[in-house]
Amino acid sequence: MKARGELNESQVAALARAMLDRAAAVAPEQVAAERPMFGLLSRTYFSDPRRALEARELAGHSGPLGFGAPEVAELLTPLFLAAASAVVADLTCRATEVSQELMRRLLNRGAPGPEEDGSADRQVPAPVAFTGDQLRAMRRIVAHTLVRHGGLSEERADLLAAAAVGDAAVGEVTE
Amino acid sequence: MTDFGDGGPAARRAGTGPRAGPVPDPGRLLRGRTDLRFATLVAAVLASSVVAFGVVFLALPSSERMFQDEVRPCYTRAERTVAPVRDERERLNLRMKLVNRCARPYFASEARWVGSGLLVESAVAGVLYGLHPWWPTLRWSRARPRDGKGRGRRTRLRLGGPVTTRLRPEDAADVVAELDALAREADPNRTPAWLVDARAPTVGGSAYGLPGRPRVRLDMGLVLRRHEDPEGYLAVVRHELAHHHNRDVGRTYLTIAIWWAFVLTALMPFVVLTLCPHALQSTGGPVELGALGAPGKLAHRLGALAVLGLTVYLARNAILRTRELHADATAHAWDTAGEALPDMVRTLPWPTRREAWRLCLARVGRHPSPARRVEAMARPDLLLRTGVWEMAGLGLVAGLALDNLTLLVGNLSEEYLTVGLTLLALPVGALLAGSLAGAVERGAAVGSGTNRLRHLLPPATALAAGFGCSRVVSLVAADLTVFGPSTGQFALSTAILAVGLLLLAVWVDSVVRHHRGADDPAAEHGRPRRAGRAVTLAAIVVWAPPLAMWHTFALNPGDFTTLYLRPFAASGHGIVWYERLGEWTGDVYFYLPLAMLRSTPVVPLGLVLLVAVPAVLVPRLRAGTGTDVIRAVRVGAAAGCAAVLTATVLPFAARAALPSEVRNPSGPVLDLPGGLAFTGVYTYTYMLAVAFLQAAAAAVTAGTGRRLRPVLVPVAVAVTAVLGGVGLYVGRGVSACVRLTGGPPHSCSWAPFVPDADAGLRLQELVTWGAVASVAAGLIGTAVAELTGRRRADDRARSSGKALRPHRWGAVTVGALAALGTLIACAAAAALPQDYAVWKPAAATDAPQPAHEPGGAGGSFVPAVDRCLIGSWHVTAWLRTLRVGSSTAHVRETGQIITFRTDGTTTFDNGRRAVSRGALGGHSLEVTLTGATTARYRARGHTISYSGGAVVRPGSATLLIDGVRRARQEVTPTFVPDHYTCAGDTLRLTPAEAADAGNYDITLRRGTGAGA
Repeated sequence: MKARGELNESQVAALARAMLDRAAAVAPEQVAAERPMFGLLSRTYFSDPRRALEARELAGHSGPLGFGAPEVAELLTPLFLAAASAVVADLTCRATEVSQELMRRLLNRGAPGPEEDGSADRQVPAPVAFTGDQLRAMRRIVAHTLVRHGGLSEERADLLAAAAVGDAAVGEVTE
Repeated sequence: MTDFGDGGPAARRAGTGPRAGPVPDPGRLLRGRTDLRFATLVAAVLASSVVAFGVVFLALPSSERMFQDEVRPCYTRAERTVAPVRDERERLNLRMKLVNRCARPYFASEARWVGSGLLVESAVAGVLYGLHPWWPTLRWSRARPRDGKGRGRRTRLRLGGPVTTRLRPEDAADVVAELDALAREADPNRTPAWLVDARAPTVGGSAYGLPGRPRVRLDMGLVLRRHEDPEGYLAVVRHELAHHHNRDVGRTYLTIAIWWAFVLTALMPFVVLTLCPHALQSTGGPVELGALGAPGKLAHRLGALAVLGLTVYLARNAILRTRELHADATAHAWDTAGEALPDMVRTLPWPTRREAWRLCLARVGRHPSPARRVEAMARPDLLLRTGVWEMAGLGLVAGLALDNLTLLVGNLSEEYLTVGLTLLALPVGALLAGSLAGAVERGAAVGSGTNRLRHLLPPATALAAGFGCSRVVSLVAADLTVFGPSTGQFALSTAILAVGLLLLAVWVDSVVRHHRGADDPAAEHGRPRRAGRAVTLAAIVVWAPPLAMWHTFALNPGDFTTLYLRPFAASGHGIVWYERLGEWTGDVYFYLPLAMLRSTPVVPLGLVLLVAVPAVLVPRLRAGTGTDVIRAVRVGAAAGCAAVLTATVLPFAARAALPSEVRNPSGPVLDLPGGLAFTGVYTYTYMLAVAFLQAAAAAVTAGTGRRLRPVLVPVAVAVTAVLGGVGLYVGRGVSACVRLTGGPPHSCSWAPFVPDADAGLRLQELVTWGAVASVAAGLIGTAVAELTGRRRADDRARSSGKALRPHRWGAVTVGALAALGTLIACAAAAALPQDYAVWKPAAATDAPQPAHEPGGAGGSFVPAVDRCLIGSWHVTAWLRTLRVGSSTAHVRETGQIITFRTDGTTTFDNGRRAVSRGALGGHSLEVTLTGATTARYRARGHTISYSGGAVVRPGSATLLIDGVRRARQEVTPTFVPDHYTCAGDTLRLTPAEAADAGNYDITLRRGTGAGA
């Protein structure tokens, strides 16, 4: 179980990172701020995913010598990690062979991440064999996760999910 | 300073560019002030613990056993022992001594228990404090239902708080480097560990950590803000660093830890035992003495608990708000280039006026309003102002700390009760005096110079009200309901306190403002702060002892409203005006608070300091250049000369007005117990006259003075007092020459004119009386001057420069004042042995040998009865010889009923009213007796001995001379052994001891009641 869990964490982190990178198209400032902290955020998330997603409940509790600002920032990384977990779980249930590279190739289409910037000679990933239903299901899962755990409006969740999964994904898949 | 570019948040206000220069940090002054508040708060909690642990001790079975087996029998033995003592005062002293001895092991055991409880509480507090870095992980949070919707949420305690992660360079090297650089700028010697709560989306942070291990926790929301708003992000970090810099962390978390330790170890058992006082005991035990079952006591205690909780909560939040403001000011002072922190603070939410309830809660919360925070950053000096509510809260918290210690310390002090309680209150007196003086001193620097009373009255009255109210709402108040003040007593004692504090405020304000005046070159050289500290210190030294004494006397509210001598008439042979004079002077002289105050060097030394400190600080006084100083000395000297004149004339007047039998104590003078002899009336009359002259001098000085009234009035009072002291001996010499009180012929010599060993004490008394009298007179003089506009005229005169011209007698005046101060100080020092004699406990006589009680004081009292005595006896004639001074009066009484029972008890009943009548020196004498007493008796060999006397029906003995009531005192169970002759229905009682021979002869006739 442990080995499988580690594998899943790695897959989930890779998928979430890819989602975050793609979400830059919709929330560039937010994504730029979270990218440097992705490692820390993902470690914290995997240590206790449930508590990580309940963090919004603790807003306003800054302790006796806190600054006193109740302002709540929108943390996308834990939400994408949760969404990625749900996606991986869903794909696992569908007995689809999932690999980290596959995920990266899937989600890197059309929206290169920062590490791919300027790498002209990098090999173009091959098309991924996901069906339109699978991608629609993934987008639905991501949007649902953003609404449920992030408290985002459905419109914003759909927008972010579309960016993270790929709005044009349906047209590129082989039927 | 790291350059973070010029990008700012959208919320940042336009036009708030870099400041012209750094804003000064209020620094240690503010930190020291809030430290003092923290310490007072902790003291209040610990003192409440003392009460709580005391209640727990009272409910322990071991305490019950100790009380039943040791204390109660000892009390019984003590009552038997003191019963034969005939002198009431001796009996009371002996009784107190024996009762204290009986209770000593019990109270010592209670003290050990309370000390152990405090140790446990401290240990728990230490553990909680040591664990405070992990507190945030344990918090109340709402459980989220599975459907993720908001319905049906439950609040529960769980480990659901933030989990911090050490921010390592490998995670974000640039962030860590930036934070470290910032921390080094704040404090090069102390770089905190940086932790991130990666789950917290909030834009905040928190300072915490154990000593030597400072930590700053940053919310992930704040860290992410670094990208969008680097200056705002750094401003928040600076704010948290400022908390470390200001040493807020340890004090804050330790205070909270102590509160929770109090709740866990003391409050919870206390509440349980308050609701179920006999939970641990099989029988009543000592709890019944604590009157736990008294009506309203439960409500009183619970109310006191509510007040304590609310007070601690509000006081803690007030302190935290001040700390937040200080941290803001410090952080803003570090950021010399921008307005990032004010801009961040401005974006913080705050309830509007429409949200009244939320606004009220926010105002008493842990964080001040954004507007207040921005104001504090712009004007840090405003932080040094002390608000009215802050003063009231300080008084209340300090009072709670003191009052809750009173019972235990009082019990342990035994016969040193007054001394012990005064010493206990001394630090609190210093705290109150120092706090008010500091507040006024800082306010004098900030406030304007007009209508000073409007600035001084609120803090003084608020402090007095808070301190006074603590007596009613303290946890121990429910156990001391017997000392509960009436509304009038409460108002009087609080008013006295308020006046005293107002005087302090006025004096400090006057001295500080004049020191900082334009005519003071020292103000330009950084001396004001040192001068302010000197003034504050002087105020503490002068006012702390009287404040402590006030608290001691306020514990028994009757002390302020009781005139002890009034029930007793002065000697006077029916000369009404003289007897009234004796009553008034006696009332003043023996008014307990004043009598104890004049038996201390507090007022004389205080008076010297009130003049000496400003004389050093204010150049105009130091150089003697002010005409107002000369005027004060002249006024005082004029009043003093009037005192000497009075002393010279008074012997002649007394000689002319009073007959020799009144003036001569060896004559047939009616000198009742507690009454005043002529010499006393004469001396106190003169002292009152001097006090009146001092008051007049004070009024004139205050009314005609220009400035520095609180300094000039003491000058006038001191001058008058010293000359009044001279007059005292002039009068004594003249009295001897005119043979006012008789004495041998040719007794006129220089000897009576020369001050004797009592000179120091007399001068001390004169100064004290004069100081007290001059308070009201000075206020009246000031009010008259204000109302008539004289002050404005004087200010105009001063502005023309006339008042600042050096006076030709200036140097001489300063020298004379210095000599005067030295003389008063020496007089106070010389009076110390006599002061000590007043303050030391009264020496109680040793327990008398049980000559009339074979079983001894501690033995059993076996009834020994004569069958002839059994029954009720009516007094047919009671011939009594009253000794009045050197005269004797024979009176005859009737109406009493004496009952002897077979169980060894007897009752002496005055019925509705027993009357004795007689004559004394041509005056009719009448004594009216009411009430009834009881005792145990033994009849052996025609002698009846009594013990264990008690009042069964309160009554009084009233003395009337020529139909005018002259004395009244409560009836007391005083019994002396009788020799008796019983034959049939006739009984005769006469004194059994030779010393009482001839004092009474009682003839009784057997009544019809059974009495057995």
